[in-house]
Amino acid sequence: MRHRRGRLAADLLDLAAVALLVPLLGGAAGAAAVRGLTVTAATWAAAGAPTGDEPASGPLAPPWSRGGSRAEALVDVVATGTLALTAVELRLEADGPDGAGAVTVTACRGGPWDGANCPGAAVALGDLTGTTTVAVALAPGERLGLRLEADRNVTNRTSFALRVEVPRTAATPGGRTSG
Amino acid sequence: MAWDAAAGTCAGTESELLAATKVGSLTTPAVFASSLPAGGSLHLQIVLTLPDQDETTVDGTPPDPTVQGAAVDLTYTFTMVQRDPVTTSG
Repeated sequence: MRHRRGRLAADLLDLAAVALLVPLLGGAAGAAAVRGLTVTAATWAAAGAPTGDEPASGPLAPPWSRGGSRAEALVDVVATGTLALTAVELRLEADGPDGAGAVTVTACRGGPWDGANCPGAAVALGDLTGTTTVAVALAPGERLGLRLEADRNVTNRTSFALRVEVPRTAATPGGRTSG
Repeated sequence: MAWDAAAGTCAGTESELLAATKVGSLTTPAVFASSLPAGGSLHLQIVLTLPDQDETTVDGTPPDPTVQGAAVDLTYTFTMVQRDPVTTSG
């Protein structure tokens, strides 16, 4: 039982679980085998970024593009850790009179947004006023495109911030190394 | 029988030599009660576990403190002690 628990923990953390073959030298009292290694813990993270740009440090203010009476912002959620993710948690915060409910958010699975066109499958996420878990497989460095839409005047009156959270349970087990 | 290094499994018989122990307490040697015949081998698996694995990363930033991304250099030294000699005749 202990072995199974320990192995799971090592898988989860992408630690170096090391199977050492230790040569024991018969007839040589005090003989020693020495092995050294560096153990590095994995990371699980994602952050918002303007489409195609580097991820922001902290909450992302959507880069609104205003035309006519409507405004839209294209952003990416980027897996910035070393572990692949199975889901991300998104929340849109609003500071102003309109509230986050004035914005609608659509994810594009399978590729980045091309303006209003999603080359993959578009998934409506609603307004993200509460925390919304999006089940999506993201390899390290991979992006999930989001399209935010709102009334132009809303984006003038209200500041928005996209928050991205990744709990440990949303990260896939890491690999195993030996040496 | 050697461990399967990729799967972390043992096709033979597993035997726990050392229960979960804080790395920092291993500055004094831990004694394994294990015998080994002449010419034999002992295959050991060492599993390392971090203390807290449930933290949530927010906007790409892990909590402070965090278990993520840390690295440590470990050196294992195994010292073998020869059994007391016995006299045989034949």
